[in-house]
Amino acid sequence: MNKILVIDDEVNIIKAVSMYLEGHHYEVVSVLEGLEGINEAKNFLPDLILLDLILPDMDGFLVCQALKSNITTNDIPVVVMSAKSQECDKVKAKECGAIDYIVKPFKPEMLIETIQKHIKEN
Amino acid sequence: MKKSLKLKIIFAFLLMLLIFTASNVWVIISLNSLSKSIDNIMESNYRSIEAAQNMIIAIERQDSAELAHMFSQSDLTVNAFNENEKIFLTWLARAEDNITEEGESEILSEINSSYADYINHFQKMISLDSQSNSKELNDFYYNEVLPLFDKTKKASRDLLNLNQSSMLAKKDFAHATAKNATISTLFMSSISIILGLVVVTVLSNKIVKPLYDLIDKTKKISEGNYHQKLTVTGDDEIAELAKEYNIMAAKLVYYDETNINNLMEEKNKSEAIVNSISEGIIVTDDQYRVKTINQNARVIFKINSSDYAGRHLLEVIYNQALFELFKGISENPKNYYTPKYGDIEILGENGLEYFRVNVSPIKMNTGEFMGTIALIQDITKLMEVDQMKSSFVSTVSHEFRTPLTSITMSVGLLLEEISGVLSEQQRDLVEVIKEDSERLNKIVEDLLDLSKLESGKMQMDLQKHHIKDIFDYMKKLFKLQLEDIQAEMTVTCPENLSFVNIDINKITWVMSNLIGNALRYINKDGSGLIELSVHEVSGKQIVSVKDNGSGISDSVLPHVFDKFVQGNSHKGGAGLGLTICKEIVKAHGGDIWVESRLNEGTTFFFSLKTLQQGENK
Repeated sequence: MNKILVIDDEVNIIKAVSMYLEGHHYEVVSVLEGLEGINEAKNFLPDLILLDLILPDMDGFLVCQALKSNITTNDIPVVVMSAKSQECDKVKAKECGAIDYIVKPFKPEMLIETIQKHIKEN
Repeated sequence: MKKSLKLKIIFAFLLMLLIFTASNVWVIISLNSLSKSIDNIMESNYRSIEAAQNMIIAIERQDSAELAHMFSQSDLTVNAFNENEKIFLTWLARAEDNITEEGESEILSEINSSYADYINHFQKMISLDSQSNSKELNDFYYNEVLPLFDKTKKASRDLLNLNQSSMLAKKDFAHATAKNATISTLFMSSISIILGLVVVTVLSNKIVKPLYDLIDKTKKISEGNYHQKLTVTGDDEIAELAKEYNIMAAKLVYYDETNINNLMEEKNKSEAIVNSISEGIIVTDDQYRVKTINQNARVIFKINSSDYAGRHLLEVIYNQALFELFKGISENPKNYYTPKYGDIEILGENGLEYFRVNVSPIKMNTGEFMGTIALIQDITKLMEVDQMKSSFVSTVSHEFRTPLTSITMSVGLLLEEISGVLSEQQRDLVEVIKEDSERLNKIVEDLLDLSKLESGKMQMDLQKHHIKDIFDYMKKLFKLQLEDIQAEMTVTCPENLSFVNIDINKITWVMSNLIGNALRYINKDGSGLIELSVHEVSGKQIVSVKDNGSGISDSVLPHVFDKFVQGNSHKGGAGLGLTICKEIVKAHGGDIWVESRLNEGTTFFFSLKTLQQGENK
């Protein structure tokens, strides 16, 4: 069973995404803050991280950079999921090491497709 | 008023009449003299000739009677002789009554005397015949009587000849008289014709020459040159006319000047009005020469000098966007392709200022294009509010995304029955939620696209493309939908159409949006028709999407490109599609517009700049 870490400050999103992914047989851990997310990534060692860009304690880009600069987490693919749809944000996310970028709101099937694609690669 | 012109004409006619009368009198005199010469011949010679001839006959008969008497003396012969003596004397008396020629009286007296002798000798012969023999009688006749007979007869013949030759001379004279009359009549006629011509020429010149002058000056007046004066000579009717004409011309000059004053006053008034209007006004003629710039427009475009009239618009205001609007109107004033307004930016003291320029053609009563008028409204405040609104809409839309995500995810969860099996009714309800959340999502996307387009943040990926390719793609894209409602879609595209420089995705979006709209409004009974066409007009390609649907009502038509406006609110959509179309076309430097008739159909047009040769990208 693949493990997914969801970092998002929206409780409802966490709830819906977690339940959906669990329904599709993923093991899901979710956190509401950036720092907490980095720590959880080290402990939980997920197969993929879903990361929101706007977090209460720190910027999503920073979280991504931190994950990529840490030896234990730098191999884990990070997929940014954000309401920001501008090209510059997508470029910046790539620069910070994100493997993919999905714009909210996304369709459930699309989320599954993206996750499967990147986990398969690894 | 003196009628001297009339008098002149009458005088001329009288003169002519006089000449003709004189000529006629001359002819009559000539004819008279001719008739007199003929009478003369009749009177003076004819009677004498007749008398002489009768005298000769009478005397010859007397001679015959004499000869007869010689052979048989009887009273019969004596009577015959006496009878003829009477006749002779009667004719002789007539001849004597009509002595007309020189020498005639001498001849007559000779006849008289010789005839008297002849008569006497006959008497002698009568007395002889009773006593003498025939020989004696014979001798007497031949020696005494016959010479007298011959003498008298010769004298009578002389009278005849004299009168005959005189008659011939008179005949010649009559001929000469007739010839003279012909010549003199010809001469008189020629003179009268020449005189008549002279009189007519002089008179007509006198009348016509001032009229020519009048015509010439009237022409000048009608050309607007009112300062005309005719020279007044004499005091005839023409002089009178010239006098009145001069008065009229003077009045015209006066009216003209008064009119100019009135016009100037009106002009000043209108200028004052134009200057007091709180919006900027610029008026140019058909050659882009500035006619008027009011106070406000001068402030907006910072024109300090007042010496702008008659100069080219670009020379006075160097603003290409403004000029393009004028150009659009001027190049085809009747053309509905031309935008009627545009927004321009000017760097003012407090940063960028925005102005909306409404342009319209100025037309004469005859419909002839005279120039362009532009009304310039300051929309900086409006733009600021609009930008605030846009950013508000953008933020709000953005905020919708997160809750939409959880709704979408939750709906997915429910529909995939991860959280438990749904009853049919529950599934229907969740489907409703799914459908409307997708619709909400679409609205949010549209709003965000729009705000990006409006703020110019939307990136355009301009490439060289062919409109025909888009048309072909549209045919494929809508094939199934068209088959569903049994509608037809035709494509008209000229053979050698140029390329356009466009963001293919965006223009495809515009096309599919317009076709999608058309599909919603056409009949679904098989009569539906959508016509796509493109044609090139002065460096632009005009693309049109025409349908034969229900059309758009006049009240909605001007607002179709505004946000949240729908032709028919029951047909779905957020009413942002056309607004986005407009922004995309605008971002390509083109225009979009619509024509529609209720129950006949709607045509959407948009224009794209044609890629010029050598402008390849």
